[in-house]
Amino acid sequence: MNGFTDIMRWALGSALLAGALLAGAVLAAGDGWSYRHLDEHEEHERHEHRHARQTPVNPVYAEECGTCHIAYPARLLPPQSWAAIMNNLDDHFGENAELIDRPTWLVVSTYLKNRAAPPPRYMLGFGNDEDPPLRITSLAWFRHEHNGIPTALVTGNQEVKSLGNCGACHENAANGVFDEHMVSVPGYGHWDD
Amino acid sequence: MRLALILIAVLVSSPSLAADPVNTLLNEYRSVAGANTTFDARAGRAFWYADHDGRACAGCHGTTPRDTGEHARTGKTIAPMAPSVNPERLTNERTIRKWFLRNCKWTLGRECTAVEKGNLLTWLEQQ
Repeated sequence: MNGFTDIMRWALGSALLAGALLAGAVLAAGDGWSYRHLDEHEEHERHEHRHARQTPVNPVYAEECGTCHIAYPARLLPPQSWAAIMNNLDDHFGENAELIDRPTWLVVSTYLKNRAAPPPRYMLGFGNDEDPPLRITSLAWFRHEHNGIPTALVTGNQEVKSLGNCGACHENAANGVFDEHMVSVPGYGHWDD
Repeated sequence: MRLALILIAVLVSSPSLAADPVNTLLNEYRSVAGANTTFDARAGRAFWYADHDGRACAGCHGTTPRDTGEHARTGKTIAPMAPSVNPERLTNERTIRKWFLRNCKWTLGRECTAVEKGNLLTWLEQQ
């Protein structure tokens, strides 16, 4: 009896392990299929846990990094990206965004690192440690979510200017809420794809 | 460790207990520039409008400190600098330090001198 149970355990364990390895291989491949698949899953998850995801923004981060643009939610970039950004604040996309002292820098860095995008999202071909993506707008999932929006509504819209200006259309962006059913483009009104 | 860092940051970022952050900073700039230094509001005004290879304070802040400016890249509005229009301005020592650091380096390519900052603060305070 014990021997049979052991065999069943072994078989079940092997099946689970094989499944996990297969899933890992598919994810790691990062091809279009797995990307879309995950994207749909995440889209669903976003709707389900919209409110749960509204974790409070660190006040130091909000104060130091939320003046010229919204305090972009840490989860939108992997930790390697945040590290690269934090190490180049004197040339922050052409602006100077230096922090006033080391303790402030540490608080912001630690917060971003702890809340950064979890590994699965990062693994899907969003760059590597040596060359991490620096712009949220350059990420595949971001481009996917925003394709089909006429440029006249974004770069050609003085009240929007760029896709990086989240708050122009996502009213509650500063709180990390990007519900696609609550999008309103300045001068054009409600937008729903 | 993390909590300690946050506490330090919160303490550091609290508005200075000094009654007048501008006076505190002017005294500091004077101690750097020399005890006999007198800050000149007119020089501060000239500094506001001075062009540095196409960049100037007035370029982003709006023409005068009473105007609302706009961030050149992101389009985000910059509230007026003049305390008479925007009473929140020049009330937080740390905020003044932060923006002098960032904006001087962007506009001039270097930190502003104690005299430049003293002159500009003296003029801005009167606006």
